[in-house]
Amino acid sequence: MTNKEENVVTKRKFSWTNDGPFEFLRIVASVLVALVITFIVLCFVAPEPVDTFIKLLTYPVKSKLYFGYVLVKMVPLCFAGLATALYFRTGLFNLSTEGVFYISGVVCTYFAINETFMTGNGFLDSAICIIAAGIFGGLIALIPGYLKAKFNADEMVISLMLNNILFGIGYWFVLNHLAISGITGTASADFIASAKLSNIIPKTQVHSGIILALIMVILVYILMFKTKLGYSIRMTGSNKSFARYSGMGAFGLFMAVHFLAGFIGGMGSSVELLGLYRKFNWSTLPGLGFTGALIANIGKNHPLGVLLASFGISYLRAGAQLLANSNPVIDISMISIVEVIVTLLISSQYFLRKWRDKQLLKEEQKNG
Amino acid sequence: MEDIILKLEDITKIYSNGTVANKDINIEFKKGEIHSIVGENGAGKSTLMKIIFAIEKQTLGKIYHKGEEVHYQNSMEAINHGIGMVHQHFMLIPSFTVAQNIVLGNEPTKGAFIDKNEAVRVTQELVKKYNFDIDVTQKVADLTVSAKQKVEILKTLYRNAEIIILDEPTAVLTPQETDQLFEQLIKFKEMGHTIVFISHKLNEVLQISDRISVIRKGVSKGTYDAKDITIDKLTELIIGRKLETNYDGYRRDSENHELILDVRNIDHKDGAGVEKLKNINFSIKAGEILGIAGVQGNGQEELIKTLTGLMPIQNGKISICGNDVSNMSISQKRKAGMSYIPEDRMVDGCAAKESIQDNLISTTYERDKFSGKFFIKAKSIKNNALELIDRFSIKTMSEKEKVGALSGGNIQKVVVAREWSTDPKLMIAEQPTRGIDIGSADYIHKELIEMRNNGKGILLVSADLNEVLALSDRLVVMEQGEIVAYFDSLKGVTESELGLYMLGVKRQSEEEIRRACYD
Amino acid sequence: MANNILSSFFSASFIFIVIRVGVPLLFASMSAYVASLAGIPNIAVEGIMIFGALFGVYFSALSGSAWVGLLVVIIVGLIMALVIAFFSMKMKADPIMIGIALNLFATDFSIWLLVLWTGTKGTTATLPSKVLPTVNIPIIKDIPILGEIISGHYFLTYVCVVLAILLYILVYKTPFGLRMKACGLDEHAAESVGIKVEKVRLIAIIISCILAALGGAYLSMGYMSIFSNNMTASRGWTGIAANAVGQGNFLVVILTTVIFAFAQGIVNRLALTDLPSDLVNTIPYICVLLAMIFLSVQKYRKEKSK
Repeated sequence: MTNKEENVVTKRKFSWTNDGPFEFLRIVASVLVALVITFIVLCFVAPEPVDTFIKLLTYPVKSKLYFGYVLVKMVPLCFAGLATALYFRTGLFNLSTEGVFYISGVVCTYFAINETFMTGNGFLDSAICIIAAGIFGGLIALIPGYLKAKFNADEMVISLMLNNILFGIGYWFVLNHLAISGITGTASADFIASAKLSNIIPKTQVHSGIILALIMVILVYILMFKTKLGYSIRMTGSNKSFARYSGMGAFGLFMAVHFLAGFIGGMGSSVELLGLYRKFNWSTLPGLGFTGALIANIGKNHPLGVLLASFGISYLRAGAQLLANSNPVIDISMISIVEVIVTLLISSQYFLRKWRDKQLLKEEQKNG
Repeated sequence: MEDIILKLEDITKIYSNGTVANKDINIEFKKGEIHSIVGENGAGKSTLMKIIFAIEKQTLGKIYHKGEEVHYQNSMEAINHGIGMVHQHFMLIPSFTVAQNIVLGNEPTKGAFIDKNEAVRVTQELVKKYNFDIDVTQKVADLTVSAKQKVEILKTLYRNAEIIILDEPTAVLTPQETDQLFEQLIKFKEMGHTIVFISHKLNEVLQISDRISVIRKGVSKGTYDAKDITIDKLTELIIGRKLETNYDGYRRDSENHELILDVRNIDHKDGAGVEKLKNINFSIKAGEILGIAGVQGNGQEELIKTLTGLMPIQNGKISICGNDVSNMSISQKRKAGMSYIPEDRMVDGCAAKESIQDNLISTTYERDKFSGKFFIKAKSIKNNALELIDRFSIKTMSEKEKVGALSGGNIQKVVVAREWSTDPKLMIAEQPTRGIDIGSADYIHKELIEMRNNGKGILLVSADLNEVLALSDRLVVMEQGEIVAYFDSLKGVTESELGLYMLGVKRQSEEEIRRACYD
Repeated sequence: MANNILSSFFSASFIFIVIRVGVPLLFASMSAYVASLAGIPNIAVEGIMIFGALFGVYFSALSGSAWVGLLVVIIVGLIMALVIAFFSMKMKADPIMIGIALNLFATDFSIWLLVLWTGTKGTTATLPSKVLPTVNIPIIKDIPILGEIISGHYFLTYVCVVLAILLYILVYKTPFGLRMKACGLDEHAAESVGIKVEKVRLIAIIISCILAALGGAYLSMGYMSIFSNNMTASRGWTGIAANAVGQGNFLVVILTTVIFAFAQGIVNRLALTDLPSDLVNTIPYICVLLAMIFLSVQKYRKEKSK
């Protein structure tokens, strides 16, 4: 209509105060703060804090084998992060990935130790186990999914209770149906060779699961940003009543998201088992529900962010674990210091806000 | 001049984003008067009251209380100096009793404990003293709106308020309740309280006030004795030059005259069994705007929720272009040709954290233009955004900007642009220009007229009488959940005439009201 | 056999067990309750319990006194409260994310501290830690049945009961309780009458975190005499669930907690039978799950009838 010139869409100039760069800056700053605090903690407990700190950060790149650890550890974190990011994007605080991981692992084992399901073809056999675990994971996730979609039940507490229940059932099943009594103890029978994922980088533990993880990152990216379902996920997560007003149905969406997230969790579990283990011997929950939430949060619920966050956390954890062999004060669990600080700072809306306001004011004054 | 209790001197308020809400405002409030502050929506009345009550701090200027300059740091200090405020949105806790709400923050105690009996006794005494009719042991959730307002007033009295500020108190009241409130206000005045009454309803203001201060665009336009000023003069002061509220020059006859919306016998009862809608009937043809006028809370919200499908229909029939849509979901109704500009753009109208281009397709993303079976078409989504940004003069740097970063007027344009782009048959516009700048409002008004000219049917619901009168071709008035008047032409219809229907003083005959339907 | 078990559920010793297993749940429920009442949900109950349990043990071993350990537990609760308050109120972080982060931190960091302090990852069995005393109430302990049930519990059991009574009084009888509720229900309304919302919430969070830390201390300095990994076993979350079921009513919260405690007591009894223990262990979680489902279905029906 009128004054067209005035609102011609122009390209924005780059500035650290723009949304994207500012978010990046916040993440970098959070990591720095976390590392500094880790160093301070080390000063109290380690005899040679500087040396230990440097080793912690550089150990994984010392050899191919060590860097392989980083990649291997990253795989389950990435799957858990993707599943949780899908929940969080939809506005759901579901932490059931933990229990889904466990029970899907049991289902995967059920297939992977049973000759009748196996064809002898390595690709096919792995696929059967992974898909079976994925579908089962998806179906399990539909339990809290249905309760949320239909009754608006508190998905967080329910998913945590479900985790414990799934663990009890899964462990019982392993003991009574998958273990060979008197021989394997609390572990299952060995996986059939053809079901296992193959090693892709010689002299490391890196298995083809990492390729699957990368494919899932891409698929979730496409799902979130290129599909109709992804669009409604983002709008619903951003403003539920806006989605309702626009005519998007929440029930089907919630069910779909739960199934997909459960599927990814189940997939991750089977990939981890078939890639790294000879048999199923998990005697506790893997702890991936919370870690997945952490990774999703650090990665801003974006699949690429999840990939980076799981790499970063895996890098630090691998460094700590490798160092733990030679250094009595180091353990993989100490990386929780970094994790908690980064998570808290990134979820703080006011972190660096004053700095940004000041910069904006300066820009304003420059422009008159 | 010792009867001046509160004095505002050169009050200026500039928000950090550069908006000037108040500029050099000077007002004196006398002890024992009813002093009205009038002005348009967005003229700066509420900001000024927030400054007095220390919710906001003035950028420049001084406040004197009984001749002494004061600098309140927070509302508590204002309360302690005898200033009380009845907010437009009630500050009450529904699950607490009346007595609890009144004493909250200032509870009578016996030792370390709340003295419940004393709380009830004190509040009961207060109720008796000011002649209210409220059971203080009742839960606030069970009270009517006007009773809740009384509780708010009691709260200020409990804190010994000498000055009571009431922000648009009659917006939620029926005429009888309004009269009752006025009686009480006059009683307070006689008891020595100062009442600051904020409103934009001029009849009321003239009826109740001793003195009236006018604010226009943040600037004070003087204080007048109510008995010396006429409604015409007051209108002129508030609006300035006669605002162009006449869009007749833009109206063209549509070629299409098919029946777009037909609403029959709609009833609605809320959870407590109160009748919110009673036998609503009207219809809209292509190429016309039907306005619904009425005081807020007289069933408009329920009507729109029923029409749009946000609430299930209880009784009656809704047809769009001859198709029965009564029991359809929102998305089905949208497919049948409905579009809807919601009252609250931040709650229903947009996802503030998402981009403009994504917000612009929320109601159309399933169409072939924007998506296939699974995938969305990024390019046409972007082009759509660029087109609409241009077409609706949305001021932004990029189509990827978050909607939340825009100004209120531009956010509303995003909403209107999206609903326009669905190419609807029926457009339901609920308070389409509430709280936005005059430029954007004017723009949106012209867009609505344009849509009308192009053969859409438009239902306009607004609490702003100017807006309804300027835009509508036909008009119904709603009061207490019923249609009480129908005008098939707005020639010669005045605000004050509508006011009589809105306040329930007058009511047309059933036959006259029936004409709102095309048979 | 079945008859035997059934009858054992009606014995005094069973009630005694229910109290024993119920106390940490009640600490957790009260912790969740007081925080959510003031409007900042405390999701970190579980994590704070872990820290309470670990620090209590460690400092009692270090000082040789269980009371010093208990003092440290309270300080730990206080520190966690300040962290939650700082990030939720001053940094505007989502309380749920804060809770998730702190829970994970507590789980992992406690393992690291175990490594540092004992050189092993499993338990503090090698530390000469102290336990808080058991209290025999004079006179009552000699009353049959009643004495058997309510005398001879750990020190913190009685603290828990006293704190529950005090919390009830605080919430329902004092001005602070009313204000706390107001902050939780509508902070703007609370602010408009001059209540300092942040201050009220800070106090509520402090109370909440100290209660959670005491719950942890009960586990490691009474119920058991060591700290071991995963010893809280979702008790914190059970508390959060009980609070959700109670919907702001303290007595319902307590009642729900008692029901959960009974479920746990039954599990402890069934552990002595040859039923599969892994499945039996899920019973309390199933109870909580069912309670949550019941609650949401009820809410759903209520809303639908509107």
